[in-house]
Amino acid sequence: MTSRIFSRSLTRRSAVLAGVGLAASARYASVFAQTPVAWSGATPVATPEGNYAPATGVERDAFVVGMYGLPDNLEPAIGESNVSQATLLNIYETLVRRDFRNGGAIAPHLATAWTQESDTQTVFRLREGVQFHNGNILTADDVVFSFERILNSADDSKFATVKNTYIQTIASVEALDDLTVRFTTHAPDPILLRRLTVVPSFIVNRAYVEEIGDDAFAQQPMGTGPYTFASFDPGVELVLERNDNYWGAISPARQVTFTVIAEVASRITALANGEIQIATSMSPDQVTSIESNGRNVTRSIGLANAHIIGFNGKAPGLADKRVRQALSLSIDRALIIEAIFLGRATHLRQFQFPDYGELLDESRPFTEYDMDRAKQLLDESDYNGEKISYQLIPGYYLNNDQTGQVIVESWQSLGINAELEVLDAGKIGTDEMSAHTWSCTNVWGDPAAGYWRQFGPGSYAQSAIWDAPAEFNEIGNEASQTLDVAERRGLYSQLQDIWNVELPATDLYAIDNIAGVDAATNWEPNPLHAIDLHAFNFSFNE
Amino acid sequence: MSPGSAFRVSSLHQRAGIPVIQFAIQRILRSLLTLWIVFTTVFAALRLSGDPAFAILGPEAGQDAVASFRERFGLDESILTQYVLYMKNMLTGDMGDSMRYERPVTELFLARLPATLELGAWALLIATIIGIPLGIMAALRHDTILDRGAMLVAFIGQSAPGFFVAIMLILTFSLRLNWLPSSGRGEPNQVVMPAITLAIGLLAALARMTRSSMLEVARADYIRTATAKGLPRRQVVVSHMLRNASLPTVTMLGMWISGMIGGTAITETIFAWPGVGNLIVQAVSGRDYAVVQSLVLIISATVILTNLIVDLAYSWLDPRISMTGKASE
Repeated sequence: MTSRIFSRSLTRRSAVLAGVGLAASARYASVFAQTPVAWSGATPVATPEGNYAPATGVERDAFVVGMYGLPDNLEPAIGESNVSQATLLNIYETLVRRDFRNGGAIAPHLATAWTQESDTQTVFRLREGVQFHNGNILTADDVVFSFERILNSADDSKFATVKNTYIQTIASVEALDDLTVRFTTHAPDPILLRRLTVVPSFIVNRAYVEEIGDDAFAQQPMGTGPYTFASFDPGVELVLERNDNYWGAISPARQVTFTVIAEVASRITALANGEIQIATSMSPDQVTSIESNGRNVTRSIGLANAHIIGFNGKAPGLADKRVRQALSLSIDRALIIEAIFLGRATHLRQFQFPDYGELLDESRPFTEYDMDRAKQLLDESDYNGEKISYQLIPGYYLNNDQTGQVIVESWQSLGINAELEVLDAGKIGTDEMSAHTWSCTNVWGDPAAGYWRQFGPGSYAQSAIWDAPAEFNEIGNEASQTLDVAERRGLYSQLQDIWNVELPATDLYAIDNIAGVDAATNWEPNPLHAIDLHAFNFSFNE
Repeated sequence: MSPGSAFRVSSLHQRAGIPVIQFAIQRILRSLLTLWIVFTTVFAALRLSGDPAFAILGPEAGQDAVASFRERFGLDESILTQYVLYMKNMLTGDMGDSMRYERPVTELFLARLPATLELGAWALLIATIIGIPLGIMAALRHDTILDRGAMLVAFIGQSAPGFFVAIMLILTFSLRLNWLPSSGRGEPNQVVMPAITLAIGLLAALARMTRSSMLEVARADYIRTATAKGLPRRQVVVSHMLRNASLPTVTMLGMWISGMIGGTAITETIFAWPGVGNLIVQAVSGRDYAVVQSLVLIISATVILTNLIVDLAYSWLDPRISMTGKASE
């Protein structure tokens, strides 16, 4: 009954959208420009758009991915780490996904269609007949449960961080009928759809989780994805079996093993030897070696992650923003990219990621290198020879040791009493921080995920290393609640201007995600580290 | 008596007159003291190395989440309280939970132990069946080309670092010949290269030690007597020379076995062998206090226990040595 009522309502809405020429306001249209705004009703989409691995019909019994590490556990709601993002999306799925072969556009996944009812309400139509791995059918109640277990969690629970940094804008999720669910946000949220593409927005089965409890669920995951859980040996391997009841196209490998081969050289060897078919996290200087045998190739894509330097404004010598500006200006990023990354990294335009889409301001210059201006700023500043440490964890970020040496040399040339300091992981976040290697992940493909998520109110940055001007927070708040694209673009431009003066951190580069792959495998890496083995991204030539 | 065993034998002789039980109690107390020193040192070193909450949760974790993490693992208590609590738990056999994997340390350790024992057993077998005969052959063919050749091989084997041997093996047998897999565990052929890597140093040391011990024993009067009595050469070598020359070899094997659990880290990491050494590396880099503390304690206990067993084994191998101090030299 509910379904029929809703169906009528939808039909009317679709008719209005189609007939009147987008009855939804122009600003909605612009916000959801990448999405199918018109409601597709109960017509399920058989496979997601954006297939880019040709379906060949070739199958294999086993497929092995060599990785430097595995998730500590398999709880999807807290799977923020690179290795979690790499693996979990094969077990769990989200309502919508980003199609990275189509500019990161939002594409249907467990939801086939959606529409915006008001500034703060969006309704999703679920795909019909989707089965969880235990045979239960996906319903709107599962979607409600998936979000409520996070939204209603205590602030000292393991879900607290994701609740407060990823989906804090969501006020409620309610089931309208078995296949329809409404999201209500506290305020207009221009990136709601993008929030629903990544952690913690994976959909889990209420009955299963309530039956086994959160702790057991983290060890025995169960979702709707193309692969079902088989076994997990922490730090060793995660084995998945193909889900032959998957709602979409069936993946071509019957069993997939994600195995830990911590050493890069060992992963390359295993790939060359045919023991694994994908070797993750390769560096640019290994490309030639990987491809030299003719049996393997490398595939790469720009990572949605920028290496940055965080400046602790409360540390000696770094309180004066002119010093921070001088430090940033003295770094020759283009040279580092060319010499250390062999050109396989992206020089950003003042901390803007290339996939900001319409919000990318291409008139802004690449983050500058100007030693003369740096010296002038340093002369004008209050800097009085205090020691400034460049802190790094060896090997934590790709080539951060070599880059660190170049940067410290640059700072010393500038006249800074700089030194390279090996930072222990346990010291991260303490008041012993100075200038330190860090990174920023553009997890949603939007400025809201860049400096705003990481440096906005309530962030570690504002609580520990930076007294942000009130104007920064006011403009950022406004931008995060503005639906109109042009307006947001203007606000983010203002935010960038403040950023350029304040510089609580400075961007270095966004590196490429390079993987070594068995040449007979059609598979592409992902800007968020995902090893996506859905059939639309995974097939074999032989 | 071989030079290698001189110190231990004389030290045991100094205990002449000490009853067995008193000796055993002394050894156990000394072992416990050593364990306590190791435990305290590791506990202090880990606490000085920073807060695992940040290392595990990341700098963006909220204050509530960090506080909850610290409370869950007792990190919000004073250092002294943490120390007493952890000591109490260890004494009751509770090694605690891994902060990273949220599983009992005992479960993680026991899950990885079979892999390390398997690797160690194969390495021990390879080293023993090649190293000892090589040493015997070199001793029996003393100053011949065979002796020099064997010792050259042993010298190279002992000098080559494990990671170098591993890389050479991988280059040759994985990449060039494509005979053996370079990583993982499960198939029989996957253990070959890690076991050889682990065995090669021990093999070389065993060969050299066996040779020198055999040469030492060969000059003894009782060997000359046994030969003069007309005993077959095989009997002289096996029953008289080898048994008496085996004391330092057994010592070496004991030390190697006791250090094996912690000493396989490099080999296990290179070959992605899922053993205890690999777990230690992951735990140290992940600031997993409970895992590091417990594993170090287990390794120390193994070393201490093995040393005790080796000491006891001496009395069987050399009847002149007696725990009661009634030396019959």
